[in-house]
Amino acid sequence: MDKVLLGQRLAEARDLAGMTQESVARAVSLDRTAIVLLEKGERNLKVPELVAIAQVLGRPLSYFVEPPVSAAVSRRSAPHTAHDSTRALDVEIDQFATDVRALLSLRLVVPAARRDSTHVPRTHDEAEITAMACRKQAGLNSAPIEDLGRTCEVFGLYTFAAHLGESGPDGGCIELTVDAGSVGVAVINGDAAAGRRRMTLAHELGHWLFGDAYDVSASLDNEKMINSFAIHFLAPRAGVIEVWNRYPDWPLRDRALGVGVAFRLSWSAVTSQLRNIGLISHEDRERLGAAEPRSGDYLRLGLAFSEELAAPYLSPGYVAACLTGYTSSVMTEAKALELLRGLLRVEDLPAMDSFSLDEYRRSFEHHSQTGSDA
Amino acid sequence: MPDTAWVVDTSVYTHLCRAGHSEILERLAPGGVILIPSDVDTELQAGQQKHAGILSVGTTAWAQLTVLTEEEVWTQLEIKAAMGGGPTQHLGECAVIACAQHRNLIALLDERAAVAQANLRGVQSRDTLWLVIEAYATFFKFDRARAVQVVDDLLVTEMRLPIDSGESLFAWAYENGLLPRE
Repeated sequence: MDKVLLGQRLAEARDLAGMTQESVARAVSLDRTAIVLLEKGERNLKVPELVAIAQVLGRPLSYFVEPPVSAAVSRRSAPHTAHDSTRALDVEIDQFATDVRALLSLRLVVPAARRDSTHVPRTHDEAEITAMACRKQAGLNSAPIEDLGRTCEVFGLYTFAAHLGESGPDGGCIELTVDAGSVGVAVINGDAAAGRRRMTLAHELGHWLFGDAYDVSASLDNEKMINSFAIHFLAPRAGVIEVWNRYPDWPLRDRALGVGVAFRLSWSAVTSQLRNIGLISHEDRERLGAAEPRSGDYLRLGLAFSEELAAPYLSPGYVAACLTGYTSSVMTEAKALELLRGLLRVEDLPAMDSFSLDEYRRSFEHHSQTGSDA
Repeated sequence: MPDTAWVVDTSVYTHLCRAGHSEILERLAPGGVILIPSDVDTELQAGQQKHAGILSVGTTAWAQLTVLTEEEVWTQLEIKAAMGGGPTQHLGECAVIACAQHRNLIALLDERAAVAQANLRGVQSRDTLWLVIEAYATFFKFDRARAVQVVDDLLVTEMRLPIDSGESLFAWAYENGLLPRE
């Protein structure tokens, strides 16, 4: 990082925040000229001034200062032929990756051992087989995945569900590599519908597992196969059949609703998967797909769609790493709260650990003279 | 002890001053000088409003004010980003680590999160308790009573220590295998 790049990031964040140089200057009691020079990389840096500007722009200081995550930089400058990517999503991915990197550097998160020789499936059958193998690796049977964020962490993928707007991009994922290894970092749109959020995260898990987390050459075929993997991972054949058979007397549509609730799938994903595994015909799928259910349809059957991955959401291993950093004193209270993005308040933080001997071991080491005691 | 010079943070300086034992810094300072970054000096001046015992940097021969270079300020900014907090929170610690990193000095720090950042950057650091043990092993001439008194005086300043009395310092260290040293 240098002053010029820092200036560019300030300008970009100001733009995203919908602020002018004048309004930022006013908010931090500076002349507009100071902001102009900062954005050009021509002003001497003053730490408190930059912290105040970062606060006004709603970004942590690390966003402006930390070296860019290389994959994130590539993604930001690459053409997006197959991904629906926007600047807001890229900014969130970049920031979350920076935060995960901070946890990695403090050894609060450990790099993942990724599956070897995994590639994007070539056929739907291969996608299903791969999905089953991954479920087995995660210790899952054919039942619905209760906590998808936690399951993704089994594979080394950390998740943040951001506010990206109901019609915003679905999500994205990058690989974050440090000296000790790699982890995956996914950001999904936490404002999208619940079923869509899960499908997006399962899709990003596919990208991460198949090693194309950052995928400049992603083709539409790849995307189809990763979607196929995602739906089989979320709703495996045996589990879907089991739920389907639970309601033998219900009309077709109601049985589909039951499957959707059990596996927390969007309506289009339910109807597709029912067709994929041969429980309904093409015609049934067309007919069902044309009549998107309303919330009352589920409630009438006594079914409730449980929410997961709603913004702001952070996967549990990430949250635990932040709190461990805080309680073990390697991270300040302010930094822990910053990384937790408003998930917890000061009064929610756990008690600090009592003194660890390691903290004081060094106080008794490396002294200039040796004597009877010290 | 290596001859590498020291740069001190607010906590170490103020607790030793308030406990009435700033002579530990003065006597142990390699070359007789300890650097005080200007951001630490600002915090010291704020502390003087509450605690009269904190020596002004200008009144001592051994405490020397230093201003960070532009490159050091950039590093301070990076550390500040890692430490978090409001505009002036942790500025002193960040300045100390940045200064130590660029000038190859030893940082005197108490805050564990700051020590973690120093470690990440390969910066050597020492804390207040290290200074007490060093004083005991050098110019205190292994006078336990004197070391015990310093710890008691530090506890009066509400310094966070793993023991609640100076008397228990050595027993605690032996019980936990910190003494005797190999």
